[in-house]
Formats: sequence, structure tokens, C-alpha cells
Amino acid sequence: MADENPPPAPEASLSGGAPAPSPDALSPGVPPAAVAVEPPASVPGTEASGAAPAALTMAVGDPPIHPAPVEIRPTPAAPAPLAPFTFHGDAREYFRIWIVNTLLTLLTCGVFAAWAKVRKRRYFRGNTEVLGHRFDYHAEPWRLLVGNILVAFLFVAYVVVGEVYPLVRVGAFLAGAVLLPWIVVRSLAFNAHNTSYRGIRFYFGQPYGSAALLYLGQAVVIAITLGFYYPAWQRNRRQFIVSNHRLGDAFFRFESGSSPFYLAYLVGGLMVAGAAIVGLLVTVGIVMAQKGRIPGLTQMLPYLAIYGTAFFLARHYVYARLFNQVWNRTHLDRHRFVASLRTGAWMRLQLTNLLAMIGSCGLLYPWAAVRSMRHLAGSLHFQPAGPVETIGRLGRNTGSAVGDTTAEFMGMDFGL
Amino acid sequence: MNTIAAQFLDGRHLAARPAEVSREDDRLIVAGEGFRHAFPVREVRVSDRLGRIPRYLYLPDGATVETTAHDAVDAFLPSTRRTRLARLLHWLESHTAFAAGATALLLVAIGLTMVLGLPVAARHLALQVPDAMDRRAGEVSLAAMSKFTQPSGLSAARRREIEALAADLAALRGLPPPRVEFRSMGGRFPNAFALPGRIIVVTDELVEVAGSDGELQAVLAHELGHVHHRHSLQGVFRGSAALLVVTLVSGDLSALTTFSASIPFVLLQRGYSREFEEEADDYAAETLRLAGVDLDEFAAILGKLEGSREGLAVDYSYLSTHPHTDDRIKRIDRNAPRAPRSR
Repeated sequence: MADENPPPAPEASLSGGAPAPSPDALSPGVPPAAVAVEPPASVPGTEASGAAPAALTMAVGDPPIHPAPVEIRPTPAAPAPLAPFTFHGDAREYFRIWIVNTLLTLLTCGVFAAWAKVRKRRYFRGNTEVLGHRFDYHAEPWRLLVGNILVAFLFVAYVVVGEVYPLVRVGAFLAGAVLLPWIVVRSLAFNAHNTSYRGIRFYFGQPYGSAALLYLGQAVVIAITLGFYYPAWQRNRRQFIVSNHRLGDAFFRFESGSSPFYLAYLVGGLMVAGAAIVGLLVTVGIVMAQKGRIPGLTQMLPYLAIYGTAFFLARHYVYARLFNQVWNRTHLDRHRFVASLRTGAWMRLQLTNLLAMIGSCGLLYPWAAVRSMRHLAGSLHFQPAGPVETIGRLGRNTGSAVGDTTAEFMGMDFGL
Repeated sequence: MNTIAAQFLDGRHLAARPAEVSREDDRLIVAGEGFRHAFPVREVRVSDRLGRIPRYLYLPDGATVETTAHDAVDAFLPSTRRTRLARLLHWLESHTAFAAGATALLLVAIGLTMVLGLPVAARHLALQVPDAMDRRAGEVSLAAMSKFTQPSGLSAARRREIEALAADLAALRGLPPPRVEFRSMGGRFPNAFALPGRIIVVTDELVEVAGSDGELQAVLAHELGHVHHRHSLQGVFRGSAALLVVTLVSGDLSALTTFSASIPFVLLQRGYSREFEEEADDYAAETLRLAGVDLDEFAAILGKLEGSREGLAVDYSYLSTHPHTDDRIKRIDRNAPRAPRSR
């Protein structure tokens, strides 16, 4: 499921600011196709994952499959019906898990965060079902711990050393920019390789060249065009992420032009621009009405509220539009996906999530994360073009273990 | 022996076949239509229990068994340190009582951090701010303040007298003289403010209201207390927990000056917190004792300032967060060892 992650921040596109590839922008996205559903932004951090598609059981006449040399007899097929994605997570159950893990993370000064993260991902993947099976997440928490420690170490070094030698900061920034493509690829690979469906793992290739082009080269283009290239960049990013994922030996493909991306960002941008104008008028009205008063923060509140709400809604509008666009244009081998996330319903859901989170000081986060995920899963279907059992382990044809060995070399999770 | 209903995933194809899992001595048997595999139990790894998601038995040959028979799986497989820890975690996660306890603990921890930790961190940080940064913050505050005040109409001689009063009081506490600035509030607002950068702003209206130099000294001593404790910077850090955290972690103070522009507005609209006022009062009482100024002067000017509040627009309710004037006077009486006074 995925989603494409967090909706790309609209602002970037609007404001013309060059959306540099911020980690935020990157990470989430796990491939739609592949795995990962990350719940939207409003739910901070949820990364749920969903996973993708696979399918099986096409229950209907599953040919008995024999073990050893597996031969598969494809069932000649009538056009298969749509197979829904279903999320079985329960808000109460997840709340208990989340609160205990959060407390343990605090009590261990953050060390337990790696275990908490793995449990969260397992919970979201393990509750996402399609064609009768769930997704499984295998990551060893200590690998996340290593990534966390490394990031913390670099951060402290950057801050402390940079305090004394400012040049170190410049150097660290440049080094970070150069390493970014590598980090992105390793993170995507880590999570793909650690996600499986029906005993078959997902994979993410090693496209360092295209990652560098995307995250460094095209980032420069975004800056030069004052952000106008951003929607196209988002399209390219989805293309990069989706088409480098595989489930076993089956490739994901993504084919889409840039226009739908431009349209989504255009509408989102208009929402924000409209709110900015309305907010400004309201503020001017207030100031005029109490002229003579010293201007203070209170007079700015309506403006901030209007602008902030519009920004939030625009972000989720874009998210929903791109969710549909990405999944509807994603294929797994011969199979495809059908997404029908309604923008209005999604924005309402995220707005109530936001209010609930604010009203509960964040305690309703598990509820928000679970219902977001349930809604996303409910908006996504898998459309098999035939039996999915023909999808096999990577490398099985040659009998080599290359695929599995590659999976061992999976890098680490950088928390992207 | 008991068997567990499960799905067998061979790891080679995206296919699942129904299977039954059972245990024979040290071997785990996975059997279904047309197949039967046996594995040493010790080589089988099982996924930790989490909510109601399926359990996976990872078999040595790369195949997987998927089942939802949680209790049976736990009973089947050998117990190791790892599985015992996982079971404990699951046990904690599945009891509402623990969730409630954890919630309460978290809320208390967050509350304590906000209530106790924030002020301590703000004070610590405010006192660490280098003088140069403090002065720059003062300039920014002063510039913001001059936008809604007018130049003072006091004579240069009168200003020098007041500056001398402030310098003398500071000297009594072993401090360098503060920088005293004079501004007019358009006749409406007798008061004084302590800004960063050791700046004390005195309004023309205050000078007019004060009946004696003793009363002016009382106000100046109070403001010196704010200056000494750097209450304005503490206020900025308290007001923006985000700034506080970022500064504490990164040591980067550059955002401080931006926030300093808001100090005059905050002081005008809300004043300092009651706690800061009491601290400044205590400081003032001690200073006035050293200067030989009767505390009655303090009481008198407090009463006048309170009286002047009436009729002000709501936005000017500066005094509203000050402790009630009577309480302040009683408090000073109680705490300050002082010369006998008559009242």
C-alpha cells in the first residue's frame, strides 16, 4: 500500500522554494508498489507499512501445487475479480502496544526506539491483508539501532565540532548531500528486503546512478526553475521508487506522465493561495476594527489558523490525488492495482485526526494511525491478471542464491 | 500429539498450501497434501507475538509456516531467553492496566518536564547567554519598543539624575550601571521595563507619577532584579519551548534575537510571570535596604501604579499578572529584614 508517502509538501511546489530533497520527501515514499504504506503525515511517524500486493490464493481453484519441483498449472482465467486490501489493525490493541513501547523508549533513553519501530512496522504490515495473506516484516532491531546511533553520532559531531570549526559544517553538509542517494537506496533496500508476502521477499535494486541523478541532478533543476519542476520531480521519484522494486522475481512498473502531478499540485497551491488571501483580508479587517491598538500575536491568530488549515488540507489533497495516480499506474508483472481514494473523505479524515491528536496531546495517535491505514487499505485493490502463484523467488531459475545473498547485504535503516 | 492448522509457504513461489504442524520429539513436522517435511525444532525460528498478527515459523530451508494459533505455537517451541522477553513484552502490551499505567506515567513525565524542567532549563540557558548576544537582543527589543512609544520629553538633567539613581543602586549590589532609556507612552502608561542587554526603560509617565526619588529608586531596584536574573531572556525561552530545545541541543543562539523583538509586546500585554515578579521584589527589598530607602516608598509607588491601571484598555493590563499589590507589600514586609517603618 502504500502510499506514496507523505504527501509531498505542497509548499515546496508552491513557494517555489526549491524543495530540496528533504529526507521527508524521500523517505516515505516507499514504493507504492512495493511496500510500505506510510501513513500520512498527520500521523507523524506512522509508517505503517503496507505492503503490497501479492496474491494468492486465488482461491478459486487453486491447482494443487506440488512441492518439490514446483510446477504450476495456471488456471485459465476468467478476468479475475478485484481483490481488496484489508487492514485488520485495531485502535485499542495498537494503543496498548504503542504506549508500552513509547514508555520503554523513554525509560531506555531511546535505545528501545529501534525495537519499537520494528514492532510498529510488523503491526501495520502484519495487519494488512490481500488475497488471504498478510505481509511480514523481518528487520532485526539491532540493525536499526546501529543506524540510529550512527545518525545521532553524526548529528552531535556536526553540532559540537561545527561550533568550533564552522567549516566542518559546510563539509558535513556537502558530504551529506553527496551521500544522500546512497542513503536513500540503502534505506529503501533495507525495508524492501525485510518485507515479505507469502514467504517471498520484496527487493529493491541498486540504482545508485539514477538515485544521484534524481536527488542531486534534478534537485538542481528544481532550484533553477524556482520549483516549477517539482511536480515532475515527484513523478520521477515515484517512477524511480516503484520500478526498482520487485516481489521475488516479479517487477513493479510505473507508467505515468507528469500532467496529473502538475494538476494535483496546482489545485493544492490554489487552496493555499486562496487561504492566504482570505486570511490576509480577515487580519486587515481586525486591525482596522481596532485601530490604535498595539498589534500583537492575537490579531495574527485567525490568519495563522486559516493558512495552517488550508496548508494541511492541501497537503492531504495532493496526497490523495497522487496516491490514486501512482497506484493506478503501477503494475506488478501482468497484474495491476486499482486505487480509489476520495480526496474529500481523506481530507476530512485527516482533519479529524489532527483535531483528535491536538485535543488528546497526541494520545490518540494510535487511533489516527490505524484509521488512516484502514482507510488507505480500503481504497486499494489488487487486480490479478491470472494466478499469482507463478511469481517465484528471485534467482530460482538459475538455481543460484544470488538473490538471497543480495538480500543479506541490505544496508541499514536510517530512519528515513 | 496435537497439531496446528497452518499455511505452508515454500519460499519458492507465491503459493500457500494448507498444512498441519506437529512435533515429534525434537523434530517439527510440517505435513500437507502431497508433502511432509521434518526440521530440528532448535533450528526453527518463530516470529514474536504482536497483537493478533499471524505468527511465522521460519524453517531452516527458507520455507515459512504461517498460523494464527498463537498459544499452540508458544507451547510447541522451546523457550529461550529471547522468546521469554518477547512473551513478557506481549504480556505487557495486552493488558489494559499496563496501558493505563503507562499512559499515566507518560503524562506525569511530560507534565513534570514542562512544569519543572522548562523553567530550570530556561534559567540555566538565560544565564549562559554571552553578554554580546544579550546586548544584541536588547537592541532588537528596544527597536521594537520604540515603534510604539515616543521620544521622552524629560530634560537631560532629570535623565542624568535618574541614571545616577540606577547606577548607585547597581553599585550597592556590586553591578555595573544599567543602561537607562527614557520613552513616552503618550501620557497613558506609567511604568518601567527591563529588557535584555541590561536595559531599563523608564516612561515619562512613571517619572511624573512618582512622588519622590525614593519611589523611583524602588521601581529601579525592582527592574534591576529583572535585569540581574535576566528575566526577559528567561521569558523568551519559556515562551518558546522549541527555541529552548533547539538552543540547548545545538548551542545556536542566532534565533534568539528574532524572538527578542517580541519581548516588549509580551511585557505590555502580559507582564512577567508572578514568580519573576516575586524574585524581582525580593531583590528590590534587599537593594532598598542597602540603600537605606524605606519600603514605604515601594508600597506607595505600587499603589499608584495600580491606581493608574484603571481606565486603561484591556491590552494594557500589564499589572494583571503581577501579584496583587497588597500581597506584594505584605510579602516584602515578611521577607525583608529592614529598617523600621511606620505605616
